[in-house]
Amino acid sequence: MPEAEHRAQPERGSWDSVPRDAASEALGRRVHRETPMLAEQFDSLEQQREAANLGMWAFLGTEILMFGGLFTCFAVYRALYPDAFKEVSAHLYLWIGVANTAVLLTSSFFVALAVHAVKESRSGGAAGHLLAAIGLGVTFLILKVIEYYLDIKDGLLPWHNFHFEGEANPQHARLFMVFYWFMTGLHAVHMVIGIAVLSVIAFFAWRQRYSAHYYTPVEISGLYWHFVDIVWIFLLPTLYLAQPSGHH
Amino acid sequence: MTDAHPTMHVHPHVTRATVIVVFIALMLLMILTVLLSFIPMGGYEKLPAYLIATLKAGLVILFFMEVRHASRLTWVFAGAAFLWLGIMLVLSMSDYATRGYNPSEEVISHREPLIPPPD
Repeated sequence: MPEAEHRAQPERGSWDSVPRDAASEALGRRVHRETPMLAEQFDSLEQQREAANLGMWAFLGTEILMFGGLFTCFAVYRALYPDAFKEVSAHLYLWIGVANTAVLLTSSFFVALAVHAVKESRSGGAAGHLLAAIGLGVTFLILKVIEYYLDIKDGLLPWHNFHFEGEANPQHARLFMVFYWFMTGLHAVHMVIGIAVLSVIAFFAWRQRYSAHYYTPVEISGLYWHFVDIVWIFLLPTLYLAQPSGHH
Repeated sequence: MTDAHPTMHVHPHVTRATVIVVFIALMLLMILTVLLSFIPMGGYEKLPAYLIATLKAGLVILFFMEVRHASRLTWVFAGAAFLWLGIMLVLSMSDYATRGYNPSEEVISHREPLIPPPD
């Protein structure tokens, strides 16, 4: 059906050239009737997918700048108190930070595989990959809770019972830990949201909702998950990778 | 069935092999950055750490988030976010890095103060 193709895939930047006569309107209505997942404001699934991707990137832009604000603050205070920040940083549990990096990178790998599977119309396979990613996300949070518990036991919760035994100015040491708790805490909140989103997508993938024809939700949830992974990629050198002598 | 649909669109996309290679590269880079953090570099330990982090983020963005095959408008959206992040970081740091610096200090220090300090 050459006419249908013309209606469904207008040339880039040529909306005016798409005929708006009665016949094409009828054709448009038929395309929407035959494609229930195509929202009425879009001409084609491709256009819908592109809009969803751009929307997600616009949202991720605000997220990048939100985390970026924290990273900028951290950079300023690290420049002001370099010795204290290095010294306290060496008291974090490097092995948990590294293990969690491996866990998150692997989870991102499974999400990429899920998107790949769904593009080949293997919705069930995508559900399996997403389940693996969710499991790894939960593993990350369990490790993080264990680490928080150990940090609190070490007296590194910046609260009334905060104590740091070292050469560093205790106020500067405390400031580093405020950054640590806020940055990892905000990241953990994003992990919880990501796990919830992937769970819903995995459920629908298991119900065979997605195919090579329609996979936008899998793709844009994947974008969010990868973004959360990228934040952690930068948290590893920022908080954990410290002076060579003092690692835990 | 879906193949004959008028709105069907075949995409160039990242292959399974690429996804696996990128994942292996990410894990190796992670091991490398941890090992490098144990080598003293005279105060420049963070430099390779952040270079590797940027490389890892680039791999994730290009291949996992598939910006590599995305439209140019997506490149603009993604690029704009990092551009503003760069502006925030560079301008903030240039402010704090130069706060103690007073270019007129040298000249003034060679003179008697215009207003003598109180006894």
